[in-house]
Amino acid sequence: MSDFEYGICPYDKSHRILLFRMPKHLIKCEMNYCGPPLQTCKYNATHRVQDMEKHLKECDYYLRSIENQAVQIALRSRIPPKQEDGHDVDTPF
Amino acid sequence: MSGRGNLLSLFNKNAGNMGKSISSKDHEIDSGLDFNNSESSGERLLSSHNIETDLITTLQHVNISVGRGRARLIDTLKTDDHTSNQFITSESKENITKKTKGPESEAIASENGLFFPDLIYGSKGSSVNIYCNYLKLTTDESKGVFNYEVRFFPPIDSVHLRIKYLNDHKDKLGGTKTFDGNTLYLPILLPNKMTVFISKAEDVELQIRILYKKKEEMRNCTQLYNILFDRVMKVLNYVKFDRKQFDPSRPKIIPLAKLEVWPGYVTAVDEYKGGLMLCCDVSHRILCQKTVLEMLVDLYQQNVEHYQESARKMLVGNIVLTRYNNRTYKINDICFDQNPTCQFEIKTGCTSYVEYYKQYHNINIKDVNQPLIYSIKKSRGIPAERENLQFCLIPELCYLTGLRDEVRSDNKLMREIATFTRVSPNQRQMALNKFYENVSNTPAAQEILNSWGLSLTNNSNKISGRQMDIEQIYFSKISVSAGRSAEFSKHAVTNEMLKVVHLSKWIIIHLRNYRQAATSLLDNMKQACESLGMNISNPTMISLDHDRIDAYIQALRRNITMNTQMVVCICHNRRDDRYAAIKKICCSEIPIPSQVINAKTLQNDLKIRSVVQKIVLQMNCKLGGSLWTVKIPFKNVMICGIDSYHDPSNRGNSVAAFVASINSSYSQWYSKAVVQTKREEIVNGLSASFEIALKMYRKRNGKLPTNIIIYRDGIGDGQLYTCLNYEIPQFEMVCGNRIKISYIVVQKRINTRIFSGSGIHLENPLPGTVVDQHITKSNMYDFFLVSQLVRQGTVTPTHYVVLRDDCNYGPDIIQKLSYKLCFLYYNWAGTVRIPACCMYAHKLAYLIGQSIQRDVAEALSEKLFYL
Repeated sequence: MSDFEYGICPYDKSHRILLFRMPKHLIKCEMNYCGPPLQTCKYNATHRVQDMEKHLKECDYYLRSIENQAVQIALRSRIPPKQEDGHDVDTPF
Repeated sequence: MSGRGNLLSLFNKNAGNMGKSISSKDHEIDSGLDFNNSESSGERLLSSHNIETDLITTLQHVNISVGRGRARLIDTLKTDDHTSNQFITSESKENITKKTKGPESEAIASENGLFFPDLIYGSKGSSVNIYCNYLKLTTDESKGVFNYEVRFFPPIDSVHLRIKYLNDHKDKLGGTKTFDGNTLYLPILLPNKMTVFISKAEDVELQIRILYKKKEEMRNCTQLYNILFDRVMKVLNYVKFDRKQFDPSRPKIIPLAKLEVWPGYVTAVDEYKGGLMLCCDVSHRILCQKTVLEMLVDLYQQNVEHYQESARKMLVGNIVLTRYNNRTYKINDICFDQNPTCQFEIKTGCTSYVEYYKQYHNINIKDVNQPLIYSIKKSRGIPAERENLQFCLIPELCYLTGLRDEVRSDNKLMREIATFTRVSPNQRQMALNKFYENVSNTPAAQEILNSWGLSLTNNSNKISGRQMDIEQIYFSKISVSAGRSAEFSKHAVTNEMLKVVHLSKWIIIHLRNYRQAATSLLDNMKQACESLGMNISNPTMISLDHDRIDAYIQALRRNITMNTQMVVCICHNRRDDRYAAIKKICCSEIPIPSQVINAKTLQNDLKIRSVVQKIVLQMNCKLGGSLWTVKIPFKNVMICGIDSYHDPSNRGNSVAAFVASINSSYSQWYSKAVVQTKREEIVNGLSASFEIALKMYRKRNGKLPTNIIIYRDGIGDGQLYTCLNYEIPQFEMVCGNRIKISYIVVQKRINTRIFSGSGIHLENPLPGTVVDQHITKSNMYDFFLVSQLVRQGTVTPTHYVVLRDDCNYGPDIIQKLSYKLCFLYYNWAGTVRIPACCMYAHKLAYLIGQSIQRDVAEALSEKLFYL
């Protein structure tokens, strides 16, 4: 089991759960939860937070997807390479 | 367990576990085990209305640490009490946290929380006779499973002692029982509500009170019944591997490869619409006749220097069988620094492996210099207290099981194995009858079943199914009938494709030696394209001098330009690292559709025509085109597929793939993959992917879909509930009230087999055969569908479970739709076993998990770049 990562249950900080078991746990733990309502993160549904804006600033999954988008935009706007004597010139990416 | 002997650290485990497990949870609530407390609960017994809640609390808070099937049975039986208790005590709490669910969806849920509307049987199609591999189980009316609570006064902590004391009175309880220290199950009803026995224990009089609780309902007993069948198989001398039982006495031997095949069965009892039944299927297990020691010697001779490394690489993770006790172990490591003369501890002191095997198994170990195999078995129980059992095994006595990669890649050998493992419908039915006879003719097996009031009957396996109408396939210009066998490969390569993308600027990268192959590819492509309606311009040909990965990478980076449509790489052989490198560049770094072709397939002059035809079809899909469609007369409905990929060795991350249709002919798909944590089956990042898919749909169609239908692959029976309450809300979060959701789980690894025909002439049912009665689960909205044509062996039907149908399509439409979607997988001109959206998701997840392992460029997401 040491190969697998642990996470902290958002409904009860004292619950330390293997990440791949977290969904099942969250269903159960949500039933017994009576604190302030938590929102579910769109980018990883195991993230349940009160303040979504604050969370997105530090959510790895969100940041990764944003980063990916940025790279895509950069790639789309790359300049078509010139041709010399019918051969492509080296185009840096 | 003591007979096993070669455990290293089992001996202190049980006692340690027990003490801790009791104190670990909720000690403020009366556990019924503490001396003072149980006195008070004894008093409470008198006031009758308290008894039940008291018992429930008692039951709930006693943790069971016995790590065997029986204890788990009791766990599941108890869940029932758990929920009912929650209703009593925490009604107010429930109100606060209850999710906003529509009232109707709650009313039509079955008792286990799954969707169960009134109408679950379809009626369309022609009726056909079907046979299935189920045996009816009847329960004796006078017997049942009766649940009792057992208490000891004065209380006893040790579970072992409790079992021992209760065993003193075994005869008075009828001889048959299941007891875990707290809960007792008997097949009979005791005459009194409370039975009291007196035992003598060390001069103290011990009172055992057995209190009747309830008669268990049949559906809660299936696990007990499954355990009974495990015992039956043990009586019949079968050996258990995972959940399957194999017969060691009749191996079929493949002498050349030194392999043997053990025939066996996989059995499962469950409650179906037709009552309690046993599903029984034939299974096989491959066993090596070479010992692990012989393999190690071979490895050593091949490569002396890196012998230890290569041995670990080859063996770790495999399962071995020790024939002296027919048990299986997983190899976790090889201890090269130890040998059989090493000492280890057993109950009576220290002994060496050599002596131990001589004494307990009467085996003389011949080679005393061999290393030891190290194996860890997970012990069940509370995770925190879990201590793994460690074994050291002697390679000389171990035999590898299962197929190794080198065997798997040997086509000739695999064909030979298949002659044993590929079983025709008739043979399967015969094996089922044989199983029935075996059980009926073995008195010991009968006794096990009879003691719990069970008996098997073999006359209920004829059921009725339905055959759906023949589908019409639509190409760009004409439509053809798919026929009874649902195949149209001849039409697919001769008719104009549904949506053609012309190839004007593309690249072929090949090794210098394969110029010939490249030109013949091009010639054949041009020939094939004429009838397919595709225009192909001459590509830029790039020839590489060296077959090195970096040469390919450089060629890709240098030559792909903005308007390049596609890259084709002709490679020398199958090599995963080269393939992964090319795909990483083409899917992530420079997003472009890519096609990797093994040069060998282009050098076979006989086959090249048909190979190239298929390559052209695939390339058209990768470019964003589509090949054919079937009529799905929905308006504004999006169909999605989800699947996940797990790294087999659990080293890499899991990948979840999401595919959604973005046009009305269901020929264009949006695809998105999300890399998840290891072993994660349930998908977390659905909301974000789904949102983008909806945007894409709106861009293409000008509006959002009104309904979405989601096909989810890769969910086992145990995960249905999680799926329902975790994945569907992620969709709901995006949909709100605007879009209705239907959610269907697709299961393909099942043991159900269905046959058509009659008597001794059974055959595989034709594609489009549906069974939704009798053998479907008693508490689910489900059906079986055979969608693919199988010519050899037996077809495995696909099991569909409808978890949600807000759109109110009803069984007929869902069954028909599921079948239609099986036609739309563009890599195969016919039907596949699962809906195309699931197949695409599977393919995408596999590519990302196996080769790319990172996010894919958004630019490719509207194309089937992963085909």
